Amino acid sequence: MTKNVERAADPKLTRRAFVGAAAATAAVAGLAGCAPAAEPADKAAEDEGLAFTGEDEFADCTLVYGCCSPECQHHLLKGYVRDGKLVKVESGEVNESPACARGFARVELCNSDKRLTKPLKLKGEKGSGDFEEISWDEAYDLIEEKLRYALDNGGSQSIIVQGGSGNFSSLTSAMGTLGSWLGGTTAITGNFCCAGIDSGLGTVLGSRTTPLRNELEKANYIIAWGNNPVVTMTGYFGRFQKMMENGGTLCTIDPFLSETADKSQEWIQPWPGTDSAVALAMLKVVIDEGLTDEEYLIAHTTAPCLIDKKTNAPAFTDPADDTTYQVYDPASKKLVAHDAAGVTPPLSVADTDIADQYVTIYDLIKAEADKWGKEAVEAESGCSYDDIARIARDYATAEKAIIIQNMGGYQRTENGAYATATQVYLALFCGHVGHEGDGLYDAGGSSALVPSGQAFESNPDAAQYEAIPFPHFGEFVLEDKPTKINFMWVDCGNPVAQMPNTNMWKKALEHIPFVVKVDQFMNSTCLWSDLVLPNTALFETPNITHSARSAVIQISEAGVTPPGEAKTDLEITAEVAKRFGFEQYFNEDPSVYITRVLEGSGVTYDELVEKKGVNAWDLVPGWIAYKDGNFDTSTGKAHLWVQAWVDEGFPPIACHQRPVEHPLNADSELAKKYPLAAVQRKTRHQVHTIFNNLESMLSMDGHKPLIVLHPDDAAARSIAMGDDITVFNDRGEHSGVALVSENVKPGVVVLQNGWDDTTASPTSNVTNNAWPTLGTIHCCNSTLVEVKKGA
Amino acid sequence: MAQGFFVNSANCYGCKTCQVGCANEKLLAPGVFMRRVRQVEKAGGHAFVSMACNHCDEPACMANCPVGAYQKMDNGLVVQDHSKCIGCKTCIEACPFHAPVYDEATSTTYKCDGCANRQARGEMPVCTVVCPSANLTLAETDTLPEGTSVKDQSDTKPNLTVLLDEDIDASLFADIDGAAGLIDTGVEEA
Repeated sequence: MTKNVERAADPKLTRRAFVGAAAATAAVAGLAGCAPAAEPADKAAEDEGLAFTGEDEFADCTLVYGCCSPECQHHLLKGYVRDGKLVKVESGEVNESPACARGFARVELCNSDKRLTKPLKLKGEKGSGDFEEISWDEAYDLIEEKLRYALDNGGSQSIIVQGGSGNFSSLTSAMGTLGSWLGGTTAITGNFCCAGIDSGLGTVLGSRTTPLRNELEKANYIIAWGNNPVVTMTGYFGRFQKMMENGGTLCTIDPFLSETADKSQEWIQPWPGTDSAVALAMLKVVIDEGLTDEEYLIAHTTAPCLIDKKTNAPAFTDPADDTTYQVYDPASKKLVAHDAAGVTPPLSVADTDIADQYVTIYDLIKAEADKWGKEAVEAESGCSYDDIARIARDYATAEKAIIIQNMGGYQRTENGAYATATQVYLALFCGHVGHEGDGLYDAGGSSALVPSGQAFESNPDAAQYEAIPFPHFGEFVLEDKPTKINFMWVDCGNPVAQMPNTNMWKKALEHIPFVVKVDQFMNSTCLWSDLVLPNTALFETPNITHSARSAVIQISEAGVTPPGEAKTDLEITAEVAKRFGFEQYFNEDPSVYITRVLEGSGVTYDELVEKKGVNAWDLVPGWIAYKDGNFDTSTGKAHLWVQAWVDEGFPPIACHQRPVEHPLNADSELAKKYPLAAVQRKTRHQVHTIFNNLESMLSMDGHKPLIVLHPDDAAARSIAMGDDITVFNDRGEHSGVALVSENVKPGVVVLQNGWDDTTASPTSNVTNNAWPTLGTIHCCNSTLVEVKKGA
Repeated sequence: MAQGFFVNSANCYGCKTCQVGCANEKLLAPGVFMRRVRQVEKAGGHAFVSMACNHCDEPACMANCPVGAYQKMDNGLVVQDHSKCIGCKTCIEACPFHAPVYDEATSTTYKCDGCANRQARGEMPVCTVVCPSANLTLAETDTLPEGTSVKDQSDTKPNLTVLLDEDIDASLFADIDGAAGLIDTGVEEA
């Protein structure tokens, strides 16, 4: 750490001239007070004025750097420490954008008297909040006893170690690695946040990390599809604004007028869960109006590749080798390898002499798009076709265009994977991937740009067991499927409040004999655990972040005194590991593990210690995601026909499948009982449930959840602005305050994600836990509810 | 000399970083904010109103403080000697914008001083530094960008110029905490 007085001058502070730059002295205050006179009114006049000398009030502080690394932008923060206490936070010198309000609220987070300070053992029933403080020795003894019981009664398979997205830094994941040394544990699988990306984009493009933020200002047209960059990319939304100042267009697709939609020139409001129909309708416009970039599509995708009508599978020359796609050579009228030199295959073989036997992947996609003409898409999405067609044309004809999918709520629907994939199709058909100023998704950080290593050595012989799909975690655990779970460890997350169908998660945790939760604050998951362990926070924990959110590789230093007996996750894991003979994997100095994470990155430990953050963009000049249309698939082309979808029992071409839980299914009993579609939004005052318990955030944005509903829906239920209301369905209920606004589509209710049992009630109480879905997806935005007055 | 704030409300997207960043710099207790941003909800649009002290030409806080805690400096900033504050809240009532903020924990009142001490060492006021969209400026009033002045909104002659969001008019800047109808903290109907 550094003494503040020794730091180098920050050049950004002098970028503007200031009128008050010279030391200023107050003029004598000559006006007398007339209200309650506690002292002589002219006392001020007798005193000397205040003098502002410019002396740094924080000169005595020690500086401590750390990465704010929940599921957002991962800014490097600079903390000012006085007597072991964090007193102030600033944005660190090396960042891609300025830090946000949540980062500044870390002063309260560190110093909060609500921090956990001692191990807590459950005394009463789970959920009761009846805990007793115990010593760390007692806690470790208990953990050892319960782990040994699990190993002796069901084996390591009966253990779950569940992480989360509360901390993307590397040294907090130690317990998961210890699970491998215990023999391998049962995993919980699925896609939570960017839920549709793995299945809908990763399969097509061969990978899923596409940081685009440096391209935003160069674009002419950007679609924010079902997301709200103002909140999820707060620090660099200014780049979207710059794009607009440059003459570009921002289009938001969202049933709710989000902050981003408000700043956009275009906004359409499809029904939740119909984005795939909208994307296919846009694709139809592109195809029908001759806006397809055929050259790009032929060169960089499998669009012209042949599907055998007999097998409904690609006509591979070697079925075991998915690089052996074939295309039709119109010159020789023969099938040739997709990458045969000198061949320009047609996108369609409908008019060729092989039409009886083969169809191209392009033909199949066009057939899906053809289903979504004017009448069909208007009925399904509730949007005007003219709007959809205009957006399609403007996107297609823009010189440089981007689709932002990152954190898109549209993904968290039953059809989220295909909703993502149809947008990928759209981008590829328009040739808008792999160049300056274009692309799609926009996520990824330093680990997408330069290599990274593993902090901890894991057991290569660990067994792999059947995993539990997270939407049906409760159902699986209660039925002891695939095995009886005896022990569960949860860190870096608050699954009880965030996972779908909260009440089933609570029942599952009640069913598991021993649940350990590591956290800094009491929350829903702690309440349903048997043992709660206090861990250290940012600025109290040595760590490294070389991850998938910020391009800046960052060190986290421990310069603040942790409250009470809080320990780092690594210290906790090391002690548990010691009791099972695996301490050698966890008992090195943190610097050893930090160095391992840097392996291959080109950055040394000493360099990181000195600079605190290294911007990986500087290490890869000119880097562009999928540059020039070179994808990370086996063929190097984008794979538009996806075997992985077939393997999961879904069609190989992305299509629109209306969610089962949807208001348009008006004949369903569920829609009759619960006619409103609930969607959940991220807000400026939280990242999942983090920060949402701090008074800084609650005072800023309200102590109760806001629930937005349309005036028509409110009137039908006699609900007025500001009323206490409750959203409910068969799974549970969530209460808050009514914000009656025309800025939401009629029939849609907007909930704020991030509340839990200690602050209000989780929105996940009502969340749809549909499974199976393609990609095992979090379906919070395919949720039907009713709303009533009263809390 | 007069310093005043310029707020580009048309570009403000409501992240409230200025609000929390200010409290952080000034070491205020959680929930005590000298700069406040509130959301205004209107059919077809949102807007955000970011306000702090307007460093009036004729500050009512200074005129009415019974202990003379307020002073107007020669560079135009209206500052408070916090050591003198007795927490009577007279300044909050007297200020037409109700800009000073009362801290229950210390039973005293705080008010934006334009980061006078930061300025004295050549640094920008913290709210202007932390805004990711560079929507806030504090400078000599005659150097501020074009906008709607609220100078005539009060007898105190406030120094605030606003580039208005299309969904609001300058009357939304008449009170830092907004009009009646505020839902809890933060949202208000236009």
